Amino acid sequence: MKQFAKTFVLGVSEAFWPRRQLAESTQIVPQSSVSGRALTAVISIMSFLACLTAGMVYMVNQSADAWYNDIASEVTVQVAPREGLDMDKQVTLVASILRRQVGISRVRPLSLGESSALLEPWLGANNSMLGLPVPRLIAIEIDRNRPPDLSRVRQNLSVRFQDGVLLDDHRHWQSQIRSLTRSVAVAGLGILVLVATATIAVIVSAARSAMASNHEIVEVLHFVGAQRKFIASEFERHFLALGIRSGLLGALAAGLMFFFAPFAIQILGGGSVTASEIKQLVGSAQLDFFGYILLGFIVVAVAGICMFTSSYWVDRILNTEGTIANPNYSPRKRFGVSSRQKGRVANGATPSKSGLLRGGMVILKSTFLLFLAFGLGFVVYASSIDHRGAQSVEQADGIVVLTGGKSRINKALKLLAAGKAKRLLISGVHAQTSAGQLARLFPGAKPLFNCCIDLGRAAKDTIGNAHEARSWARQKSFRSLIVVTSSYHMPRAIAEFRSAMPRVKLSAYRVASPNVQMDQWWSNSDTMKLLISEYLKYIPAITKLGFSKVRNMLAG
Amino acid sequence: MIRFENVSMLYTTGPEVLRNVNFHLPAGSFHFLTGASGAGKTTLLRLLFMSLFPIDGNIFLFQKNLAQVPPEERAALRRRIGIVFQDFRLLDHMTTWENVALPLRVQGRRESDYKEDVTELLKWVGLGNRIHAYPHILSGGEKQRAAIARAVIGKPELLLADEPTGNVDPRMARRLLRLFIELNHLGTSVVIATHDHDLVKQYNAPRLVLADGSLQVRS
Repeated sequence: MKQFAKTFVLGVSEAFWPRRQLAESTQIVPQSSVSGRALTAVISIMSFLACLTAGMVYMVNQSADAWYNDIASEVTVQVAPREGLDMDKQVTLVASILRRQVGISRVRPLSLGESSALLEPWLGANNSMLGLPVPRLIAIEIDRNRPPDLSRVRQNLSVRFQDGVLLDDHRHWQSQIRSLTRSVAVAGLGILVLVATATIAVIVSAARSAMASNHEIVEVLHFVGAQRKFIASEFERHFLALGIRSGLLGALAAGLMFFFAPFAIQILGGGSVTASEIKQLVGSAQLDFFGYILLGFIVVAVAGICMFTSSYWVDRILNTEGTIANPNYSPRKRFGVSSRQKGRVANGATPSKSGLLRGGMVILKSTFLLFLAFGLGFVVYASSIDHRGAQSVEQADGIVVLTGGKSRINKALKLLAAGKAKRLLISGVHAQTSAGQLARLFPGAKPLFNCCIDLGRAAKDTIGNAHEARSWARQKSFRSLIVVTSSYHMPRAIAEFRSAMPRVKLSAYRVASPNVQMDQWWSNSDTMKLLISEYLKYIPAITKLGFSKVRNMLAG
Repeated sequence: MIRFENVSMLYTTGPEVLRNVNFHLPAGSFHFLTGASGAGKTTLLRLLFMSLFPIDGNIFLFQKNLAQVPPEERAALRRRIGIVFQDFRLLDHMTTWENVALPLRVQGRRESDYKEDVTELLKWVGLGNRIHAYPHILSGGEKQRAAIARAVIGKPELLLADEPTGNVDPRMARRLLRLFIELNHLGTSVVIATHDHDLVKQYNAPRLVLADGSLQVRS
């Protein structure tokens, strides 16, 4: 403990006052032989990356909290249009009922213009919407000190207006925000783990090199009766000082970046739109006091990693050393370096750099291989997507079409009409869309809507489609399904469906999307973006499928 | 003080360097260790210093069987021994004074406690004007004296010297021998490995003669 305290004090002193406290000549193990500039630069960069990641995660979390509070303090009531219904009167009636509820501080019905404005991004700004049955919205602010019983309010509205009035408490968005926050936190944690692992690898390499380059000093220390702890502490304090110095440099750089980021965006030509987008994503885009405290923790963590990793390795090397000044001594055996490196050590070169380079090369190679695997995987993925027009499918019990394009439903209806299956499930239909509305879109298929089509409204994404289809297939006792979706979406959809129902036989029916140029995906930026996004979702889907298969195999 | 019982030693390649060596050196004794070059003098010293371990037999030092001394206790035993190597083993980045003070520094002693002792010893071995010099500017003889000073600064109970006068002139060799004799008179056991017959003739001490892996003690 005493030795640890002494090492700690000396290490901290060396970090802040290297020349005054420990002149090179008085150090038993020269500081320059342990931590050169290159090593300091690498650890500083690691610390910078760690601080940047931690700071970003912190800001996104702060921002998400603010979003969450905003969303939680407001609910929306949607008044659905019906033929012959005076919408203005209906909205006024609903608003007056809402005003009477306990816990609601403000009720603001949105005018038809405001409701239409919300649809502008999709339908464009024109007067044609005045003729469309646009749902009307009522924004409600909740009294946060005395929140209302929303399920009771919902029930009251349902009793009075049936399904013509819907209360949306934004639960979906709340869960989306929670999911986003969790994803960002997990991604950030993953990056921090990678940075910590890389730092440990670099320090291990540097510790081994430091021991190799100073093996003569280590032997002399043994001769003069130095304890193992004493020898180890001579190295540890240099690594501690390195960790503190590099950690502070990295944190300082990251702190300055956070501080000046908003100004830099402005200077680099980011207009008010960019600034506002960043503000929406990460709040003020600046760290608060606790954010800077977090950077301080990173410095402590970097210093700790440097000290404890080096301590472990130096001690391990000293422990495995059976004898000293052994004529059979081999630097390769003891320190893991070659005789060529031994020669360099004897010639006074700086072997810490060779170790550093080795560690750096390992990181570079790993990163390069990772990118290469990702890139090659993407090329194989994109090239293997089958987008041929004509295709045949075997007879099946049911058809599942995933919403996302009119042509998908069209093709599915054709398959049903051709008798390829008994029933069709349209999965992912909007809650407000009725079977009648859909039937009007496909006039020729009205009889099919009356007899053989089911609508699934629960799914919000492909995973949801798979779960919805599984429930439907179970309910109907179907053992084979035809899955209908776009070509580019098919690999992921099949992966998710196989994970959800491994015992159901699946056939794929691909639908070409007019806006996606699968023939020349590499030359069309929009198609490329779409495929990259799909590929990023496909990797977890296929991984999940792999795990699911292994689990099923183990379960027999 | 030192007892060898049927000690044998060989390296992974080459013949047996020591074969069933038996001898006993009492505390406070003075011995020369002689033999032709490659006879095993350095090996024997290294066995005593626990930088090597025999393949067979037992070595007893300070009434302890060295094979049974745990690694963490070896440092304490080594502090009771001073050793002078043929190749000096001085640390190039430290001054002569710092090199000589090293054994006291690793014991955790305060510099103010030993500052005068180190300076005085350096003056005695003729390095008073080389206190702040670094090893790379010292001559071979000066390095040898600095290495001897480092070995004796901790007042060891046993001094092992490997060719301590190999790099000095006859006058300095006699002076260094006097230092060893004085240390011996103060109670330190001394073993000097040398093939310098003139040095051996200058002091009437028993000789350990190594030849063909065997050792003979000659008065």
